[in-house]
Amino acid sequence: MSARLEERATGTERGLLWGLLPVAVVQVGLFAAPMAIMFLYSFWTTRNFQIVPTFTLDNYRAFFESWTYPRVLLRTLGTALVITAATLVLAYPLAYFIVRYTRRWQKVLLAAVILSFWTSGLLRAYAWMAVLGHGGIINKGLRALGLIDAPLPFLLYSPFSVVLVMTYFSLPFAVVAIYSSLEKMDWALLDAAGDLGARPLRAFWHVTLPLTLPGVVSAAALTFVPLVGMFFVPLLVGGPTSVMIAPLIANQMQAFQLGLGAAMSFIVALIVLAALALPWRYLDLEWLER
Amino acid sequence: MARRLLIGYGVLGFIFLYLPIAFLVLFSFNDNIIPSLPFRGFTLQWYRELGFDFVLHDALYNSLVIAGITTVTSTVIGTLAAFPLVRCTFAFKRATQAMMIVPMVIPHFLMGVALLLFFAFLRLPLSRLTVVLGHVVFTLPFAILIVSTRLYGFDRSLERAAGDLGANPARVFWHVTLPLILPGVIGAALFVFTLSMDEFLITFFVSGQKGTLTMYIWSLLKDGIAPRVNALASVLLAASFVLLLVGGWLLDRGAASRSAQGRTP
Amino acid sequence: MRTAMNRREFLRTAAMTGGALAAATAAGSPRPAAAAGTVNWLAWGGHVEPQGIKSFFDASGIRVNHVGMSGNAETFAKLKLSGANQYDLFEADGLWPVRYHQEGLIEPIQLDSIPNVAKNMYPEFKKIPALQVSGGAMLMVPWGWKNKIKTAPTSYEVLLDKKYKGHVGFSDQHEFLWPVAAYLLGYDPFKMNKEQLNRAKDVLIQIKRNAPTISKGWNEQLRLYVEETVWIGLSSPGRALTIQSSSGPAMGWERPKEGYVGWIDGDMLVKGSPNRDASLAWLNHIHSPEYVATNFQRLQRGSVNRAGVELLKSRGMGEMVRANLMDQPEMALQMRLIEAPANQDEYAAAWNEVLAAS
Repeated sequence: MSARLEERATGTERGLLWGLLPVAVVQVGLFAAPMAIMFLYSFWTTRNFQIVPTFTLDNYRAFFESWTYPRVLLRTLGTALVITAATLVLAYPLAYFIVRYTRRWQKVLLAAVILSFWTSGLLRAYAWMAVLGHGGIINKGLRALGLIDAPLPFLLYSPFSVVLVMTYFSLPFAVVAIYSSLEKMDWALLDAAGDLGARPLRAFWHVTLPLTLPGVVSAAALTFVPLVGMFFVPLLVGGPTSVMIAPLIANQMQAFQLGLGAAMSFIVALIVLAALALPWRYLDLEWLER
Repeated sequence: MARRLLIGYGVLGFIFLYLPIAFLVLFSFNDNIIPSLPFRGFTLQWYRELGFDFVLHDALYNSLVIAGITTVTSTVIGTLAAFPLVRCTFAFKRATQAMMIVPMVIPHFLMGVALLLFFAFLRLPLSRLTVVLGHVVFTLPFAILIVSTRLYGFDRSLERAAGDLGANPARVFWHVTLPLILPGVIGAALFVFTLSMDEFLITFFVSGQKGTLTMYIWSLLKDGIAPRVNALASVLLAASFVLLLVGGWLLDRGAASRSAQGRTP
Repeated sequence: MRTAMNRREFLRTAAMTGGALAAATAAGSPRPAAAAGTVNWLAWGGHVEPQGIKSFFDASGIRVNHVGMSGNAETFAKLKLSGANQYDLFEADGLWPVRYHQEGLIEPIQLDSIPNVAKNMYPEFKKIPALQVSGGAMLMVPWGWKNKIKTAPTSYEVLLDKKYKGHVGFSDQHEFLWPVAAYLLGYDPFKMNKEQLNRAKDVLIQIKRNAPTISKGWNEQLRLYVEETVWIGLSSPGRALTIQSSSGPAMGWERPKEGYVGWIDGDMLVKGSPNRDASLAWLNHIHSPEYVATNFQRLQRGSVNRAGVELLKSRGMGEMVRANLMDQPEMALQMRLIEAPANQDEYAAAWNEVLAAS
């Protein structure tokens, strides 16, 4: 009887494997293939709105030979790192607060976090422009209180505003990621540490943080990678020196510089894959074991 | 002491999260063409403008169609894929799981550029179809993830019991498995729907002549004076809120039904 | 005898028939409303009047599907990449239609076949030489025009003045910024070679450093002027008044001594469009005085439409009309119209460097 059950089980198991076929088709057809085509285009050039399909390394050469393009890429990566750090520092205590100090409201608060990032990103960035601008609430408020005479120039259209708004965008995602990691922790360990005489800060540093580190690392990677592609936030709230790699590439595409755009995109893709591969060990099953 | 600090931080954190959203709603009622203080007076004018903005209505319709097709596609394919990923053991399983995640986190502009070149290469004209294709590829991993989570906590003894009682695998799936994972499937569907409605970058690269909601918002932000943008934001926020309530309620029902059967969720 | 009379008769009949046909074409097809259909219209967002689209639909059953455009070069690239037959009607500025015509993408339009254009357009605009083709058809139906000039002092050099750091307007409309650099350096704005572009690029980077941000459209520029973040920049006559009437500061404008450019934008018909009649009907509608007037009241842009101007004056917007030089169409023909540079790739590469520089 049980042998038959096992047989039936593996029979359906093999049947289930077919369920992977559609997703494989999507991954190959709509992800791998376009990436391959992009790679192909990176070796072609365009002349006067016409594609010239002869193999050439000119695009890559143009990227590295100029001083500006690599500089924009480095600027983007550097800013992304700063934003990731800020996000993690701000998200961790917030997640901790939700896990430890809210029992009845926990679901509601989590939902509130998720709801905030379901609102259209464009419109939230637009709202920040209103808040940070010369006529915005911060400036007007500070002026009304008499703390400043003229509007603070660095609030908007500066690296500061880009970091602030992008951190704002990354926060909900990081909070949810760190929350799931904190939630799985065995809090008894923390109590044990307390019993053994550790003060709260020591307990945190030596018990909580190491236990949740995998969660934090994967949150870091999953925050950093999309940040590399930040597009409309720097465009809307950034200053003239805050042009990032994604809008620059978009400009290429719009000007029909497809070869150069593809080459720059491919370079970014390599960097992104590298950033994902590094914390590989922590990434895959973390989410699935909720 | 630490406790009070953390609670204060938590409150501040939520205020921070909702500050710009609160302003959007505030300005949507403000009788001022420029979105800033002072608050000149209460008006519903901008909401009324939304009512006869036909370009907006068309864009909204297109976005709904695209999101609808994307939702059905991603949810079905995602559910089909979740089963083997959770229940089967096969070579390269970890690698496959990792591969699933990549389209979820890869910067959307990269995906957009690659898709644009791909469609140009295939001489496929940009249209609602190309937007759907672009949306499916990045929402699929989310669907897989959400359904997988549901499947992981699933107690298979129910299925085995049904099998013992003589039901073939298809009947087991339809009458036992599916109802129990349904909240997860619906949760995935809702999530995919919202992701698709809000998607900007991929749509930016691969949309054709049928404008979508995000493209419309973008053009409003750039061109012309449009205080109705704030009204639009408020309406969308309310809609998301309703969707979230529905989703939460459904998930709760799922958990309740499972605990009613004596399983711990 | 009979043959000769027959021939004369024949010729007379032919002449009369030909005349009748010509007259019929000139009068335009009567209210081409019958067939419902769609017009896919790629146009500047500022030209769209939601009320106008609705009234057109109510009257004719034709839906206008509007897609926004962001720039002339961008539109050209988009159409080359995904094909022009996604659209029926699209817009361009200045002398770009010539480029489109060279590529065989558009079909010239007989202006007189569109009733509202025939009646309402200033005659000067019906005959812009560079845009005409054989038989008097125009490549583009002009819709609006603007002089791109500065606010206040007399030379572009003021944009480089460090004294104004953080207060100079800088937009992402590169086709209007290249002329600034070109005029300062003494080059032809649309015919700069790689060397000249290199030097022009440095000038633009300098100006960019004086700017708070790269603005992306009039909406943002207006806000910056009203908030007094930006004090000086490129614009058109009449914008000063717009800024003032939006509770902004009082502003003035001047034509720079080095020269200036301007645009006349309009609509072009895609060759082989299946919605040709619907498109012409829509063109007819947007040239009606009502549409023009409503759009001007919202956005204050120069119009080529005499009837629209009269309507606005009768509504008490005379001051705005005069400030925008709308009752002086001859001014439009005196400005240097923007055109498509032959070495578009080099311009694009140089603009990228300007954007990327810190």
